[in-house]
Amino acid sequence: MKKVTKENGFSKNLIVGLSRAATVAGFLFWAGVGFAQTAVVSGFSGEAVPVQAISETPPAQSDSIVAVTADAYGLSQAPLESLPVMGGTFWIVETNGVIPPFPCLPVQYWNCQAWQMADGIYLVDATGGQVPQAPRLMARQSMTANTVDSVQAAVDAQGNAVANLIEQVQDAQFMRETAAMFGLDMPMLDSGTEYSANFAYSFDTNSLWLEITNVSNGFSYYNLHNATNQVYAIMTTTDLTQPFSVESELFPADTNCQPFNLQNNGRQYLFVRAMDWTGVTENGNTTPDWWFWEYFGTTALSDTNLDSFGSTLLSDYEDGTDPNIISFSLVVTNTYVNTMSVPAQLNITHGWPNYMAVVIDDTNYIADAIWQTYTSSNITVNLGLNGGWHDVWVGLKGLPNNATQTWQRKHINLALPPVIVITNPISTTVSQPLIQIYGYCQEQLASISYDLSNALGVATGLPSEITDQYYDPNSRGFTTNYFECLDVPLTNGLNTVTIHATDLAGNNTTTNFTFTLDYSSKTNPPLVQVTWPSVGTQISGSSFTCRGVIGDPTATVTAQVVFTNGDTNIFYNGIYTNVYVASVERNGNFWLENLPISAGTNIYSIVTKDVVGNTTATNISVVQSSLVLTINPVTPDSQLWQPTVSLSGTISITNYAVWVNGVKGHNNGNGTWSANNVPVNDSGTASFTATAYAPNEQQPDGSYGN
Amino acid sequence: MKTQLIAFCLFISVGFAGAATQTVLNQDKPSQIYIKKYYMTDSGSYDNTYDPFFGGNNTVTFSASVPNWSDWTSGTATLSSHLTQTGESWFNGQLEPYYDTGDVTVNWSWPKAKWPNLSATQNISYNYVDSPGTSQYGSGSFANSNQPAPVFMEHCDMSVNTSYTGDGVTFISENRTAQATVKLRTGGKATSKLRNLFAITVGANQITPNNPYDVYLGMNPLWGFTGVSGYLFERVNGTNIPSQNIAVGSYGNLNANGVLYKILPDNADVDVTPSIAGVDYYNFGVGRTKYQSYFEVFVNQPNPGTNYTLTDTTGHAFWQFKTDAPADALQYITASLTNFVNRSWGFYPHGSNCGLAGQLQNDSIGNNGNGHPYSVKKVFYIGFPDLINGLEFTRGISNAPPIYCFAAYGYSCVGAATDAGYSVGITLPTWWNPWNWMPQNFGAAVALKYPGPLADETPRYSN
Repeated sequence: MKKVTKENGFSKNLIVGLSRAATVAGFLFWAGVGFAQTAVVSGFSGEAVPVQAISETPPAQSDSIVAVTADAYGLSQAPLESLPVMGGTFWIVETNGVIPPFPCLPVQYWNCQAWQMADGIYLVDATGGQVPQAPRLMARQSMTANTVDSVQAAVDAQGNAVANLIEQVQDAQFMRETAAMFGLDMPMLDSGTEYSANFAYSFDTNSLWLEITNVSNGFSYYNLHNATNQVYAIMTTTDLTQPFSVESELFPADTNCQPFNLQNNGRQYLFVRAMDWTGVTENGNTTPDWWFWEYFGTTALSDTNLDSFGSTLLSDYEDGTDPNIISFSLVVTNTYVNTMSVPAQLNITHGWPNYMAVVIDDTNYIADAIWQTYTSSNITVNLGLNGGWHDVWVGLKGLPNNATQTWQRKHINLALPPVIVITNPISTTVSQPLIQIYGYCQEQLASISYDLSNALGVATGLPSEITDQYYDPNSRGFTTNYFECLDVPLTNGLNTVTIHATDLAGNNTTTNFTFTLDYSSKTNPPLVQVTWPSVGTQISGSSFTCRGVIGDPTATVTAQVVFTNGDTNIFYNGIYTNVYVASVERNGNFWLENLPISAGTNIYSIVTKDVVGNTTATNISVVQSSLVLTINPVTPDSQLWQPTVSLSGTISITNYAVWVNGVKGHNNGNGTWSANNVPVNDSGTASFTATAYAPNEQQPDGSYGN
Repeated sequence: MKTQLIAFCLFISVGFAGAATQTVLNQDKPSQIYIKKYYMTDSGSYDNTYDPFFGGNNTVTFSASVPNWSDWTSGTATLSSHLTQTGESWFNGQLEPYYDTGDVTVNWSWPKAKWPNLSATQNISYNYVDSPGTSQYGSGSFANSNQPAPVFMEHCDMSVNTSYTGDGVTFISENRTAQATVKLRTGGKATSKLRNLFAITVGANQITPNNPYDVYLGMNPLWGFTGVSGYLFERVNGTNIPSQNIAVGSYGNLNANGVLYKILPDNADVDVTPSIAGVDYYNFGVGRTKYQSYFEVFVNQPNPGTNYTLTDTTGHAFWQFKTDAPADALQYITASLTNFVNRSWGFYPHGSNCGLAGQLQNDSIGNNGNGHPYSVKKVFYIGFPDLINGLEFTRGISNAPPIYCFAAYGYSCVGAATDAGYSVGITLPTWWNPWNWMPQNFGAAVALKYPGPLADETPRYSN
């Protein structure tokens, strides 16, 4: 226990003084780690006088030990005429040390220099001008080494004695002034060498009292004793001429001794006072000051002020509600970034934050949060070095330690430059002049395109499409992007495809892939399969669409009518007109639309021809039926994306059964038919094949008749 | 080079009623927006100790999951909650549980064939005390037919965690993640030439969860249980997000009118999931319009319906490049080409035949006396890039007309119309054929090559 005060004129108020003084010439104040502490003691009276309020004096003699020490302490020299005749205190430093003080300056010292140490207290140099350097100079000239050390020690001792005297006098003066602030009188003693022993005090340990226990690492530690009420204000000031203000409040859990601490915040002097705040109100409020201060750090509020959500503070106080619940959103310009430092903004819609915490990638963010004083709604978040998704948690809360915490999370991707992978074609040597390129990138892309360079030149900015994105539930974001570059035309030899990809963070990647077009492996004609009609099919109508599949989508498919004489060419007036060219899709599906069909048997030669001239010819024959059988188009056509649709059409014979895509319909007997739940194929063109069965024909399910 | 001949078994027959007869409808599917996948998880808790002294407490935990939704496919979803309430009995002052719903769970599952009429089964059990000493227990299940699964077009990646005092001590938290992946099927046939112009539109609203403090007052995931309601957050559809801030897939941002024009291949299946930078929670709707483009060839035959007649030497052939694209989409066509789109053009003599350059003239179309008559019309699908190619061809004829020569092997209206088709990949009968230079014969050749009505308005694919 260092310094204590007792209850005094402030009812139930206590005060502890804390000061930090500059160290001078290696001398410290009394105690503490980097601090010296002092206290206010009751029972004194007097007027406060500033310690350093010294009048102008002539400059001190520079080479005297006493003068050097007085200079070091900033004392002012006092001319003889300014010295009091009586009532002062004159400390005389002679060559043998400090002698007891005189109430007046003896005449034999009138030619000595004097310095004012405190109000009415003077230091008189009667050493005759001893200088610190003299012993060493003497040693070099005529003294032995042992003698040098002895002389040096004597000089040090004299300097220490003078310094101690000055400090004790000044400490006494300081405490006297402090006591005076509280209406206490504390006379300066005029005799004795142990000043500390003269600052005895007493206090009532049965009442509220305050104790300082330690000063360490920027904090000072206290105990509040006998705090038996609900709440106490801890008030501080750094200048006793200024009022105290509340710095903290204390809800004692231990009524005998409740520890607490304060941040020193670089304050050189800190005076601490505790005050029972229980039930204290002001300005006609019902809400107590301590409640205002707890949530808002001020007592300058009223019952009718509104909280962060519009309720009165009085109602919050009465309901035990936190009046400062904070609501905010965390905003970043882009959740995809390419630098680890990400600016973010806190848009606060309710409340007034006092503290903020930022936690990265920590599911235990509440427990691990380190709260800092909230200073700005613009913050910078550091994601660290690892790329990928990061969870950024930002918490805000109000003033109390147990204030409502509100947390918001932002999911931010520190994106690395995209990496492009091609999955098709597998080989870099291809044999088709038109290729489909498929690939993927492991991250979401903002854009993708490609350039093509080959014997024909360079084409840039060709379109590519993202066909799918994989949403990863674990990372809670899109990851793999799949893309395609369709119908890339190649020329013989080397072709370079340069893919440009940009991710959502703005990272750009350019990747070259080369493909060599080589027809040497094309030795066989493309395989072809006619899907419909099959040989011998009886077809209603005057034209039909033949469809099938070809192994090489870059091959051409044509159809020619074969006449009975085997001639496939109509040469009418010199014009070949009956060559019908199919539309061929990328997957090899081909469509020969509107092939004419006439009465009787019709024979068609389906000819496929690849890029190097390999040819396949396939003949099919079909028969035109006299039965009229039609299918009405599906309207609206959006139904065609459904798994099944309902169909209808016309039929010229009322007792025929109708099947469509394996589903039996109903001949309505009025020239129409209908069918429900007809399956729809998956491709971009829906194909429905209706088949009419005569009553004597066996149907797919083995039945007969409509 | 190798040639193979596959000869099917040929037979000669005559069609007759009594044998199975077939007909086929091949109908191109339109473009379509669909949800490729919807993923959602939502979990949270609400814990209110309203009477710290006696331990009165309300606790709600809930979770919801739609792990894998896709339009027109089978899938499952679950939603569950559990509410317990304990408190001081007014009767004897003892702390006792007086409400416990048990686990309330709704499971959805649906087979592909049943989509979208999904069946939900709700399982519920409860345990509560409604008066001192009287406990009510129950359990059961019931089916809600045709209750749709909780699928939204949305993006959500939010967490809120807060605690506060007020009517006791409350801790409330929620983590919600949702993402709909939206795709566009472009429809049609996947031929290499057909790339069409699409207008993609997106409307999006940023959703702001209500402050938890407000929500807690009315929150009850059981009592207000309907579908997916009852989450801790009340969703408030907030501000409409400016269209320029909305990106569509990898195609860039919408324009100020909320439209993104993009040329896409037919029968492709591409990602059009909207994304909005920096926004954590929004819902959206995606629309599309496919604008097809066409090449139309018109032939005015002196003797319509007759075949080749060498004596017929008059008539006319002309063409038109047409698109369904609206005016604001045509800004993507250079100004020098817009004059030629959606207008018919013909090549005419300008001075002497076979001596001077001809001239391109706009031909108004019609058989009603107000426009140029025609006897043969064929319409072909072309892609939007081909449309531009065709317009450039037309502009070329206009800017640098060749010598007009209405004669065998000469370049006249037939040659120009044929080349117009060629510029967009449409194969018409060759004009340099010694017979086809005459419109009468050219029209007949077109009709033979592309069967159907002479004036056929039905678009067909390029052959």
